[in-house]
Amino acid sequence: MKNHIAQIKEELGSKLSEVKASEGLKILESSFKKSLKELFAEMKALGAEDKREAGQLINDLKNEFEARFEVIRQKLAQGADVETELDLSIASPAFVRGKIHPLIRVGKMMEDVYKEMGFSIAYGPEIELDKFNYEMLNMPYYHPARDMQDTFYLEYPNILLRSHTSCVQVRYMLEHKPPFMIISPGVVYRVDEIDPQHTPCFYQVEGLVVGDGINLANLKWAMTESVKRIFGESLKVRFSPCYYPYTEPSAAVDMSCIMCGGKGCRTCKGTGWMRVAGAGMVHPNVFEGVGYSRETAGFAFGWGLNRLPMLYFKIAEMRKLFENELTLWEQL
Amino acid sequence: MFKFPFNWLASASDTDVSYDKLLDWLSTQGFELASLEDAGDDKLIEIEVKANRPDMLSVAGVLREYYISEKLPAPKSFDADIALSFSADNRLSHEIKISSPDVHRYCGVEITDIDNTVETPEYILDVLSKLGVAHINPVVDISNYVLLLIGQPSHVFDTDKVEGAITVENTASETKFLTLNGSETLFPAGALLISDEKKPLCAAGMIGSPNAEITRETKNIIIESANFDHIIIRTTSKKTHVSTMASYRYERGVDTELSYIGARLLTKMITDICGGKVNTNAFCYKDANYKPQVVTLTTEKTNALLGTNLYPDEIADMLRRCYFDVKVIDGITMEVTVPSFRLDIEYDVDLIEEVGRIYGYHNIQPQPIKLYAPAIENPVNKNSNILRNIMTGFGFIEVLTYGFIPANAMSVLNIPEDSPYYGDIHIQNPLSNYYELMRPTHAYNLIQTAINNLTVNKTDIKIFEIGKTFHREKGHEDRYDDYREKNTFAALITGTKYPRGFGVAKDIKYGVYDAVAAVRSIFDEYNAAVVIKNSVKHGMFENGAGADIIVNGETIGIVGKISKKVLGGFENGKLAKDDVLYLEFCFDGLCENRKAISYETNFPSVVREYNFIVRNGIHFTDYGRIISSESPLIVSVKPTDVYFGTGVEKGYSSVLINVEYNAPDRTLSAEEIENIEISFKKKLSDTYGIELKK
Repeated sequence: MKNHIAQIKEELGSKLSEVKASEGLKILESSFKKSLKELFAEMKALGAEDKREAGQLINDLKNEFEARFEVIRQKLAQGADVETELDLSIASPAFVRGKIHPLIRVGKMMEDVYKEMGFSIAYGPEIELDKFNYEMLNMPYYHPARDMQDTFYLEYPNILLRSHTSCVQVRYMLEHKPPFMIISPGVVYRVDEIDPQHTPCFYQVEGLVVGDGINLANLKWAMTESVKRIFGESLKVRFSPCYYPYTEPSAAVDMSCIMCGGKGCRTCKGTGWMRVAGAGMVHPNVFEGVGYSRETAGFAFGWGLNRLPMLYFKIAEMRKLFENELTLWEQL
Repeated sequence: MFKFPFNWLASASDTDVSYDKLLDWLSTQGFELASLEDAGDDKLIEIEVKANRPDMLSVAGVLREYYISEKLPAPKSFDADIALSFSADNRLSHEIKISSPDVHRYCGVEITDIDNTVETPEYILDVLSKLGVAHINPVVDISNYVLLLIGQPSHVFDTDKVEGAITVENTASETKFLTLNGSETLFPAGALLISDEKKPLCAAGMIGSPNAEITRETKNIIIESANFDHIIIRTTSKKTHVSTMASYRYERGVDTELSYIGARLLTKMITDICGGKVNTNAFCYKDANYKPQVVTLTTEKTNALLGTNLYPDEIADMLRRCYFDVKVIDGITMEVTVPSFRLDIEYDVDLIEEVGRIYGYHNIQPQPIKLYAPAIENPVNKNSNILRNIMTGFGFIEVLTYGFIPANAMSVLNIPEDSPYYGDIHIQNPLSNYYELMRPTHAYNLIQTAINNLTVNKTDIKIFEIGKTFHREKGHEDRYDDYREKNTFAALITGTKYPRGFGVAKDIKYGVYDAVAAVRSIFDEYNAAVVIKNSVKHGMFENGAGADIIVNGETIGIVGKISKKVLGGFENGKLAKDDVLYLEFCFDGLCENRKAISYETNFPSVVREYNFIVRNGIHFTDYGRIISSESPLIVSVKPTDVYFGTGVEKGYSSVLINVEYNAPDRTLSAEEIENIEISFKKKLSDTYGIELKK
């Protein structure tokens, strides 16, 4: 009896180590049950003392292998490999997809949402005339609001690097008649020394909607809708009075902090809100300057884009956006 | 920005001011908290004041805004109870002559026999020290205190230092004089200066000079409380780089009516503190053009712009809370007289913003846009996205770099002046000469990016950038038209193509043919005919390893291997041990051509491999065309390897080419293929001297 049990143990143990599929396991289990039946049949022929000892051995055998069957059954159920030379958890470097720059990623998220909402995309030059960058946006040469946008100049005082993409809107209005809905994404330049949180270039996505009946309530809808579609339904948007020379009324747009969802954290300085955009109804002087009636209705908005990808992808410093450490972008 | 101690504001009020309510109200009205500091038992509050609200650059202005939040009538006036008789007649010891349209109001009050050796009262010193304003002497300290309290800048002359009449005029020529900040400042022609008959006394609204400076010894003074045009102060301040508390306010605008109040308050405080005798016959010049602003507003437009349904009475009440005088004319039209301190109100939309502000933007319900404006696809946006998709599919990482490069970048990149990649558009006020030149190519920034990564042992680099390059095309009538911008794509490759392992015995590096492969794959997506033609014009490439990219007959870009000499011009450029490959092209005007299936068959293809010996200088673009055009049964011609060196005569290369044959209706016979082969081999031999390798 003891020999028979040892033989079963050895043979079954050996076969069990080679099981690679549940079918094989079932066959072994069935075979094991058959062997147990044979052992019990043998046991009946033994004397009382031997029978007790044999019963114990058979029970031990049964318990041991039922446990081993269970382990293997679970492994197979989890899809785990069972001792094969092919470790398919290893991948060769044959296919590695590239990465889109984080700033462009967030920009594209916005572009996609605004396109869905019916907006067209407009671009314009980065070397711009003072006329389009300032004068026609209700900021004559003496306007103190120019201080907010310290500007790079080229060889002539009226030629500069655009300090916002609002100039694209002016150019668009000069060439198109309402109604229209556009966004103008792109790089803008301001004289800002490079440090962890400042760069001389950054990205904006500005929007302009002009047409009969457009009002501040429409602007609120457009901003709220775009925030929800880009960042999620749960985020809230709030408006507060602000000042831009080219809009009246003007509004600052805050959304719930994307780091804490509005509960308050270090990023939002405990307020639960993040300032993300400026907006307002286009100033009649701007409409007049492009040859429209002063009574034309339209709104404009502008997202500053550097901060959002920083928060979204947890990039510690703004200047990192332009330093292009590839080991960082590979993680995205 | 305006900074003030909370306790000062509270003590200046005739009602209790709640610190929390004040901060809450300011933050919801666009005057955000810029900073908050503890100052003993006081708080220093700094608020952001935008350019349209200079009336908020004083304690009085902030108090007015707080009273609006509390729905209280206007706070108490800071005007002083002192009898001064203002007249345009000159009754001072020195005549004041105003001869400039930039002076809107000029009040002059003379006080004699003051004692300026007394101590400045503690309550004034407390405010000034908390705000970092230097303590000078009582008269100057009082002048600064009044400016911060009510927002009226002033200047005080030491009468005994003034020689003859005082003239306020725009200077005819550049004038240089020592100012009270201790520097010689050159004021441009046209600047508004105040002078006596011998010398300049001060730059109006900006800064004084020692020529009539108030000192401890001063006994007799003339107080100036004036209103100068914001444009002249702004332009002079920008040109001279002189900015003071006074100029900061004047260039944004100061309430004209405040001149009188400032003159009286200053006179009262100086005489209370320093004594002296006031000449009650004060001087005042008034600009005849000044009159209160009256704006017409309709309920209809207010509601149309805000998207609200407000009644006229509601609108009028909200405006009255903000100190506007409102007359409702016909039930829907209002005639609104603007208080003199609200310099930002000019049009009806300005008043509508006030209504929106008081009504609360949060109370305006969002309304979906009902506008039909057909969306138009933008080709630059479309191309950018196509290129981005292709390159990320190839495993490239997108980078973004600044639009400007070092002033000497053309020399480093070995780009001659006659190259289309040469740039000479310089920023006049760059951060430094490292960021001075508008980039005419992405090459500098991409090489720099690669080297920066090499320095941290990131040796396998595949990067691309999409952005503008900047060029000059001289000769346009309007000089602005000389500037040209191109939408440009660029990529850089260096390092390992197939790393050692997984069946590869040793690292296989990228070579220049891989850069060409990238170009061909990109234009395959566009279904555009691309020709890569060797060119020696591009100095940034290794000699013979550079080429033009020609698409649909137009040269739009370059591809090649960056020369070691160019790499050596970069700091740490020697870290680039492997070939550095670069490609760049302008994608303006690029459009996708429709693709169609060119053949379909159920019969197997036959692929034959030919090893040709090709003389250097003969391009696959040309001889490959001979093969592919030989027969419609040839469906593809692909070079699979190029070799030169041992076993191949110098001046020649061994090129391995796979030719795929197929017919839509049958399996091709060996004889058919051989006939085609014989024909194109003969043409290759006759045309280019190309023979099969023996």
